[in-house]
Amino acid sequence: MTNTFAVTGKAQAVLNVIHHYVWKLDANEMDGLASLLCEDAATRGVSRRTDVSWGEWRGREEIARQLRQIRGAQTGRRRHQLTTPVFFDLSESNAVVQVYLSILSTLPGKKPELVTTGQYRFSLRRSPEEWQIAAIEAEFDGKVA
Amino acid sequence: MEPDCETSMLEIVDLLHAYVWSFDTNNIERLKGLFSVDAVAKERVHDSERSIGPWHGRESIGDALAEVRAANPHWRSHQCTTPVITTLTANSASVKTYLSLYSCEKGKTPELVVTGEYQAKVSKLSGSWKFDALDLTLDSAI
Repeated sequence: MTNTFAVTGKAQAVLNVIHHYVWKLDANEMDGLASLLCEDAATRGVSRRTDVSWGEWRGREEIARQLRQIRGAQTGRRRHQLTTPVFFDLSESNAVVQVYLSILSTLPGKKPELVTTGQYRFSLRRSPEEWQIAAIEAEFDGKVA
Repeated sequence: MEPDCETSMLEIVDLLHAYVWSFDTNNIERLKGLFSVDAVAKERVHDSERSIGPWHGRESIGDALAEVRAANPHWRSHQCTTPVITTLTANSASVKTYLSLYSCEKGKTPELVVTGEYQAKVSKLSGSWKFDALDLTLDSAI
């Protein structure tokens, strides 16, 4: 595991990208989301202790298409809140970071509800210009409606 | 983003965190010091016409927020997560963050009161970042 205290500044730039990703997901702005992914990005996920899984989806366009379909079927204002990052790799050109996830949803006129908790593992590559997401592995603790 | 900008990113996130900690601990003088003299702040509810503010100037912002704090003694923590810095120059930036507000009455289990988001414009004055504008949008009325 990388000593994150020694490389905090770079870590912040990586976190900025993965945070941007979930904001775009919540806002259903899938073109913007796709721009944060490598062209050959891949993602897959599973809900623990269930038979529910998704992916693997390959390519930024396919990932955006699948997520647009899912997000479009959901109701409520969603917040994918990410906390507690741990870096497993952080170099000039690669990063791997794992975060906890809490998905909160608010329906009109209602109080917010916790949809599920879980975790993401993001792998990123740095081009000369920017960090982009190369792979996302999601693991939810419960089923997500 | 260049490495020297990345230090600024940490400082800006720290400014947001200092703001919510100052509010939660009712340290209004500290809170006022996080705003530029002519800052503007306001709150609204998504898909609603409900709003409070805008408050103009750090003194007005601090005084208004002190009233909000006093009226809600059970509020415990404004937890900010998932910050995104959307624009960044050497002396100015735009930042947004998710919010979960928790309350707890004596002897009770904590409750999630509301979620929402902060959007802020900040600038660096005399070596430290300050809020020029801070907007809070709640996902539901409290």
